[in-house]
Amino acid sequence: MLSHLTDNIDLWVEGLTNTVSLTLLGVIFGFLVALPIAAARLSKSSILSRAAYSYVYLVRGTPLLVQIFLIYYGLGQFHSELKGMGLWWFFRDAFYCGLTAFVLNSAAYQAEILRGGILAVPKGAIEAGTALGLTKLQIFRKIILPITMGRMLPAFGNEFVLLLKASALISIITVRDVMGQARFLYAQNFDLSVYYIAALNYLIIVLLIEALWRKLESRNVWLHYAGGR
Amino acid sequence: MELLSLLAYGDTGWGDELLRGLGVTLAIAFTTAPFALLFSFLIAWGKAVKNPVIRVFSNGYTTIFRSLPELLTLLIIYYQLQSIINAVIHLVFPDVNVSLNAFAAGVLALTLVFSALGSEVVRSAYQAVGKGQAEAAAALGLNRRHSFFRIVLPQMWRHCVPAFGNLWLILLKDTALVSVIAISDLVRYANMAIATTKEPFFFYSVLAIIFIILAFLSSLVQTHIERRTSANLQGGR
Repeated sequence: MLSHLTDNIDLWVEGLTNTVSLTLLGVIFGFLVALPIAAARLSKSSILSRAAYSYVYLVRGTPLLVQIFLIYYGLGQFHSELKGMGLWWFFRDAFYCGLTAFVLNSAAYQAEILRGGILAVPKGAIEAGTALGLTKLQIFRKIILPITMGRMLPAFGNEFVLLLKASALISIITVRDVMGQARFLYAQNFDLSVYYIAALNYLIIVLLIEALWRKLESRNVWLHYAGGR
Repeated sequence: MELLSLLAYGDTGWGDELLRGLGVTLAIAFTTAPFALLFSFLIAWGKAVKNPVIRVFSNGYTTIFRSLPELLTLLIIYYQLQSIINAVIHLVFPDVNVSLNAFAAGVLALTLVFSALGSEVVRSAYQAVGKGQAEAAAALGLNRRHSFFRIVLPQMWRHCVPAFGNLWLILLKDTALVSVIAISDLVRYANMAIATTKEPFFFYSVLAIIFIILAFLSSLVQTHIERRTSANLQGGR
């Protein structure tokens, strides 16, 4: 069994690099896209908040696999238009298409996490900020954001693990992540142990993420903050 | 308009094929759900018992199936089960090869994943009901079976339903994966339609709409169940 690991170590390293970079980029860009969505979701304008809610509902209601297919194969149908806009190099590449799907998908989930976190900020803390004469921006940056980030931490770790697992779907559109390498090697020698090697890879990454998160959560002061007393 | 005619029911369009695929997708989800529910309770029970072997097994089961990508679990179950079954059959009939029913493999893999997720739901619902209820039942002289089924379980549903509703939505979406192991579900029929018509954007959009409708219908049912399970908490009028 181990011969499949040692003989093809470069393939596995490549797969691991792809999986980890897809997950990290997906979470980070997903967060950046989630910020305006969460803001729109909480805004007083009903058009904005409805539009943001529809986006979240659409993304969370459909399988990620269908979203990946829609972007990779679906947009491929419009390749002459995309060429005209100079975007074809991006949507031609399975890795970028998969990443786009992960970012758009994760953004919807992270926007809901953010929204929940912001709503959970105790009112007293915001009022205290107003009483101290802070501007709205200062209140957001110095009071709401730290508390929200702290509160969000467990859900954010969860999202990290979920996106890591979801990243395996990109192997279906031929990208060689850990899962993709396992499928490639299996197609060559029909030895099931390659799937167990892949399973071990995922298990170790997930356990590492969980260990890291336990550490972060134990240091986090805001996690159980419930307002002054 | 031309595109919509692709969805015609009958020989000219793909409407009937997609409907058949939808039937398979729903069949997988509805077959998996009761098994997953049952195993959720068993695994949650396994995590609470004193026997260390059962406890370690249940915790390991949860960790593994929560950590692995569903696609990987699906492929491992599909291929591994097939080779195990063939190895067993070869002991008796050396030259018979059977191929495992992909539907069964899909249901089994999804059951493993969702019972691991569900066991956490059951565990937290059990904690939410609180020890006091079981202790009160014991003080009243009920045995453990009665205490669980008559006192604790009915109160657990209220805490379970929202999280199980969530899991059901995830299950519906995850059924899309079984198209990878050659089950003729919705996604696979859509892929066939695309291979002929060369209209990927349209057919994948149709798939997305179908899944949205399923999610919407599920949320209606969930609201109804939630109202019923928390009926005792609503004031009189």
